[in-house]
Amino acid sequence: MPIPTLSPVWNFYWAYGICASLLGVIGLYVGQKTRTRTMQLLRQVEREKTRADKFANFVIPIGLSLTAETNLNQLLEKILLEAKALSLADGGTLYLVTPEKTLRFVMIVNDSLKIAMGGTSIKEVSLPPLNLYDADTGAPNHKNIATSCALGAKSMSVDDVYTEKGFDFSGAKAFDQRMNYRTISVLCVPLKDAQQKVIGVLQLINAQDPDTSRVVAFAPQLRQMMELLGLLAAAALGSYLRIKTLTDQIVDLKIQIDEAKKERQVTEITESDYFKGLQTRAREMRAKVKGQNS
Amino acid sequence: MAKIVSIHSYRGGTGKSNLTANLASLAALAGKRVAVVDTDVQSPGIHMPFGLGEDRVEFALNHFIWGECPIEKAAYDVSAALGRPGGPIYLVPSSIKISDIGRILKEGYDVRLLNDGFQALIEKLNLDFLFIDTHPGVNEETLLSIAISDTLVLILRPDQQDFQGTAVTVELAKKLDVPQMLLVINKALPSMNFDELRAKVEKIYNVPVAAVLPLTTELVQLASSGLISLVHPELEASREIGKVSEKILAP
Ligand SMILES: Nc1ncnc2c1ncn2[C@@H]1O[C@H](COP(=O)(O)OP(=O)(O)OP(=O)(O)O)[C@@H](O)[C@H]1O
Ligand SMILES: [Mg+2]
Repeated sequence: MPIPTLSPVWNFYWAYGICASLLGVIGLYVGQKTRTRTMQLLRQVEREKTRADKFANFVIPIGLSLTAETNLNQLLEKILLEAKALSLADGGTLYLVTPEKTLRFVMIVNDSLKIAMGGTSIKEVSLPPLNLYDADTGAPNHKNIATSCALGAKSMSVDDVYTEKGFDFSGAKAFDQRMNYRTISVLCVPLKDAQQKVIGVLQLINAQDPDTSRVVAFAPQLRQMMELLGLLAAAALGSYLRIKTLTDQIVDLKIQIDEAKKERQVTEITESDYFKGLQTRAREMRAKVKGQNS
Repeated sequence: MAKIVSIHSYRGGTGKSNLTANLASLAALAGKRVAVVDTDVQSPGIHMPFGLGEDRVEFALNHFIWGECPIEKAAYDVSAALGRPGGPIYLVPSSIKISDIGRILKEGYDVRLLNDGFQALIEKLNLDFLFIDTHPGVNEETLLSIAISDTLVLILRPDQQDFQGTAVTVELAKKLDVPQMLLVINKALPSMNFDELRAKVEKIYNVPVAAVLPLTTELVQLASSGLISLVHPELEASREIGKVSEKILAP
């Protein structure tokens, strides 16, 4: 019989036991402080769980419903509104990459300013598109967070626009001044198609704390969730565009029958003994039925 | 005299089984005595919308073909799927057992047996309507189903391959003197112009288009597990199926 040894699992329990008792001792000492920390942790866990639930219960169904959307404007609007609702953001913008290598504003919404432009709303977005490359030098334009996000094909976030040095937020600041608004946190997510080509950018403004409704930075987990939603949205957009090309072909509706090929196939079948027999029997049968009926 | 209605398409996945199940149900709800035969022995499908489980099926069409039972033994009353009173509706399923499918594919069978079976079924169950759900494409058994039909419903999707294949089938059906032929365009994209589509298709084949069904989310969600005409009668797809049904039920 082999000598029983302490398995690695048992080693682990030893370590676990030591840790647990240490924690117990520390717990006794730290008392009150630990309790608030535990509460915070619990709340954190609770939030993570809600996020996971949200993902399973919202993001996946949204992705599915996006695929079923057959009107482009409604599809774009759905993408933006669902992303905004999931992230509890106050505002959002959806850009599409144009063949001229610019980012075109297709839709802008903002709850507290009660703005909705583009999408299915009657108001058109009148803002000029953002150049992805400098018109003179051809250099990539990394000045704006949205263009940088599109160029780098990576999601990017800024916690506070007014303390951020990396990007040029003069556009957002001018907007704030004009609208008496305060842009704080920004998240940009690229919409990549199956070939990893960026076809658009989803931008969300001013995330809100679910408990206090105060504007906060976009949490890393939220960023992940938006990246996933971005994937689903891009897939839906891609399939819409594919169907659209398909439809355009059919709307043109040239029903073309290759008559020669058809004749060949028909002749091949009708000349078989089986078909001839069937033809005769069918005729007899119908004649008989006719005879019965008359 | 019972009316035999075959539902056929040149290619697979066009929506034959779904349409057959709905048309048969509408006929039963109109008080007719109805049976449905699944002649798609290679890939049976119509037991699904009628909720006929494998456990209930002792004999299938296969066993009749093998001479193991009379056809009426393989007919199951599925009227409960209608969820309301109507004429009785029977289903003769094809076996979904892999071994049975394998055997019938390997051995083949004399398709004339099918005709004998249909006639016996009409007589034994005193049917008003016999609906035949077919295998896609042109082969001996689909040609037989077409030849003996009073009404042939041909389904096609609005795409080039279906247009071409349907042209062949229409030609063959005309040579077999099928008294009533109806075209149904299925899975039309909502962005298409349905009227234009209908007009062009009628002109090309010189056969009436009884309905144009849009691609319908609810049908995808139903995933063959229910009868759209009964579950969602308000949908355009259901209303269009109703038009086909009217044409079939008209004396
Ligand atoms: N108008 C429609 N819109 C959306 N989905 C549809 C529509 N019609 C049918 N479908 C779906 O298409 C699939 C194929 O339908 P069905 O099984 O009826 O076709 P079939 O022609 O019998 O196929 P097979 O050739 O494999 O027997 C099913 O999942 C069905 O729910
Ligand atoms: Mg089928």
